[in-house]
Amino acid sequence: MDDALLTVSHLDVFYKRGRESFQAVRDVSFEVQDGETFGLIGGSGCGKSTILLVLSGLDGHWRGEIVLDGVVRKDGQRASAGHSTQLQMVFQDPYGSLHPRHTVDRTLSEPMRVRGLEHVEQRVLEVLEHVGLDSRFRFRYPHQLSGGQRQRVAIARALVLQPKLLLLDEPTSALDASVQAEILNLLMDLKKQLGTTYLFVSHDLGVIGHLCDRVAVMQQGSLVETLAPENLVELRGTHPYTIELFQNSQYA
Amino acid sequence: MPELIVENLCVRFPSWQGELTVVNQVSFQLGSERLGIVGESGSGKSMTARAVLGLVRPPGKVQADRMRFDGIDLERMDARGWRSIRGRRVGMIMQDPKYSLNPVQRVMDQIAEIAMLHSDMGKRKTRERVLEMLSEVGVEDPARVANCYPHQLSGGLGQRVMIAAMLINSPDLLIADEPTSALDVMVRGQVLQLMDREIKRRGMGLMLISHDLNTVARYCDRVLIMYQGRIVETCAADRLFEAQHPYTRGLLACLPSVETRGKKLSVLDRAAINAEMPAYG
Repeated sequence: MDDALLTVSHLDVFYKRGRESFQAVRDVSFEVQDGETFGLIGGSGCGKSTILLVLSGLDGHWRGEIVLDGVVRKDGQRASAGHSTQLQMVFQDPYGSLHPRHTVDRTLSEPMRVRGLEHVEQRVLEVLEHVGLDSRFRFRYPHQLSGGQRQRVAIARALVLQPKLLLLDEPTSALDASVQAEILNLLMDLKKQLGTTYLFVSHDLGVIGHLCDRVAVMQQGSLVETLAPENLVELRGTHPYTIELFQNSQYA
Repeated sequence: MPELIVENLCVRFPSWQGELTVVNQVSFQLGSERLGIVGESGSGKSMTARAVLGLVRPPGKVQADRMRFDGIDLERMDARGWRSIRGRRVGMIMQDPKYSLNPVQRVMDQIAEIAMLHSDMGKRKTRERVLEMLSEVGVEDPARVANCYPHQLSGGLGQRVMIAAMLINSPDLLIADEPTSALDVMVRGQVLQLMDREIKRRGMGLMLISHDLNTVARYCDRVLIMYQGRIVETCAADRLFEAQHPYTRGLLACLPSVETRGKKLSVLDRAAINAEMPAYG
């Protein structure tokens, strides 16, 4: 398709385990359209987080081709300097992903200072407002914030460079259901305002079904099928693993 | 059947703002049934369970009008008395097997240690019993798993080991504090079904602590809903979805699913809920 923001083709990821090599992701290909919310779902260890690490440039042991907004990377090639303005990541645990001794202000302004951008202060206030935190929170430390507030800061940090693609690695699984609802609402509002594309990893079928346009199901490193919106709404999979996953989700 | 009776349990911690009551006048009884306790983080559900097992650390203070298990007064228990209850008559399963298993001890050694503490079985007999127990909880190759260190096990397997360790002394009551929230969806169902099967088979009591309403509705008989240290509502598990309290209703309404697609999720109106709460005292 012509308006794909991200194209991943034949992605393999290997890890060395002693002398042996372990293949965490095998021959995965998918496309994410501009403005779409694309879900990745599967059990732990299926490789979904590994794919995000490769996309974000945090992992170099891969083969295949990744095209992000026209920029091509092949076979473990490192990301270029402009990468961070195209793509940012929000991690699962808001307690681990913020520097405990940096204030919210420093966490948010550092990416801009590193890139030598101007109007840093104005942008910090703007992005805080986007995520629903008022300026009182600007000089707080992470330990002075609740889990939900921290995740808001983590989202603000990801948005500060105005990326086209946001990688969300189970951003609500460490939060209470009521706080999860607030963060999911925030993500939907931000999408309306900013038009950011989301790649959303989760093992919670409720969250995926609520938020995602399309979803890819992964099992042991392989992508077994991609569900179109109409199939997702009816929880209708064709692959046996998908069917099992959907069934189990109703019992847990 | 031994019964756990808790009346007006309070757990307090000192803080800069004065004494903080994290569990406030909680009362319940539990026989050989499955009792669920739900609530958000900080609602006092885990503290309630810890208080029952005497695991609230100082400076926390536990106070109750009555707290008895099988006629034994849990309030006036010394260290020796606790040792005869914990693990033997009441078992506890925590959230993450990574933290509750000893990382430098093989599975066999840690389960055997628990078994030998409370029985005078010989070493060989105990080891056989451990392998038996592991296969009872659905471990396919008990001999290999018994020889593993916890870091060599997956989350689901780790939790099965934990369950085996807790069941080996055939306790009367099992307290499970978010036993599956560190596991992924596929394994969650299996572990819960396993726990459920063993509990029914042994006629034990279960106290299942969870933030997940669906889990509790499915695997419990009766549910207590806690908010800010208090029980706000008690209901039969199969009537949970008809619950009345605004907090329970709010929790039910904020769950995402395919039905809520494209809609805004409702969020808890804490001001309204607090208005309904009785004043602290």
